[in-house]
Amino acid sequence: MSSTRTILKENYSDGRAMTNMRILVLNRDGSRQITIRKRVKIDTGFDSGVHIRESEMSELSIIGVKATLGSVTLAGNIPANAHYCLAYLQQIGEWEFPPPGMEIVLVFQGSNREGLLGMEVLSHWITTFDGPNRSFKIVCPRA
Amino acid sequence: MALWDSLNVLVPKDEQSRIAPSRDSSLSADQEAAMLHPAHFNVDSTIEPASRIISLDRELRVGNQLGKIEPPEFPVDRPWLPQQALEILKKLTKGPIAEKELIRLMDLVADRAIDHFQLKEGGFVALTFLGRIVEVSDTRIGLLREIQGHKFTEEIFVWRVGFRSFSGRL
Repeated sequence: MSSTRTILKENYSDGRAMTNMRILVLNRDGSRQITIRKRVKIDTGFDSGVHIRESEMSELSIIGVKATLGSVTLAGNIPANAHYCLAYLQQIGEWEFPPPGMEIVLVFQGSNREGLLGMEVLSHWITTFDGPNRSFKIVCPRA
Repeated sequence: MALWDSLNVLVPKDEQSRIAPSRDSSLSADQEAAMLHPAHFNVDSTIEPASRIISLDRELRVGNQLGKIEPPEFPVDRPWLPQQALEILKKLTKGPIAEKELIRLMDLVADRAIDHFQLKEGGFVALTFLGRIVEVSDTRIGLLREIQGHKFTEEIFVWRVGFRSFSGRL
């Protein structure tokens, strides 16, 4: 018998599906870490993990982590430079994951204050958008 | 004879008279010397001495003394890069370049490396700007897990095989 657990249920904010999350970045031996708290938009068009602004990358140097260069395709098929690192999603909304959290790809690019939560994370769950009631829900399909 | 001296051609003495040009009796010794001077014949004196080719024992020797044929050097761990990529790389060594150019460089290098190493479409790869493959993985997370925290002697970047970038609105 399978059941689902509700991870998140929120109303739209300014007409958009948004939530808060907490992300952890660890250095290789796990001796140092930084925590990033971010308001993110649910973005089913983004195929990676979590996208946040580039300026937040400077904090990585404090713990000796160097993000790797790459490129990202933005809306309108516009290519841009981006930096990537491995991180852990510790909290989404009020839901906390067991430590160290869920492994995600963290993308640093641009200057938008709000981040994006992409399909690489969303694909672990069932996400339902309730347009008429202006709300959305994320459930975990595991028993 | 000035010409033979300047070219250092070693010819057995008994043959010198046979192969040397015949003397025109109407020319003075100075005129003859001037005509035989390398400059007059437009001879490049920087060319390797002929002694390398013609030796006293009449054995023809080409190349190095051991007669070994050296294969040309070519990279086995990276592809040949297109001219445009090499030009951007050269610019990079002189200073920062525009974002557009850096993306173009990554695109060119990734394209050639993926083709050269016949990487599977949809996979994720970390590579150097000279096209050397550092790591390959089926997932973005797997790739970053392998490379994060490692120090590389060359700058690296990440790419998705068969796509125009590592992630985004694809």
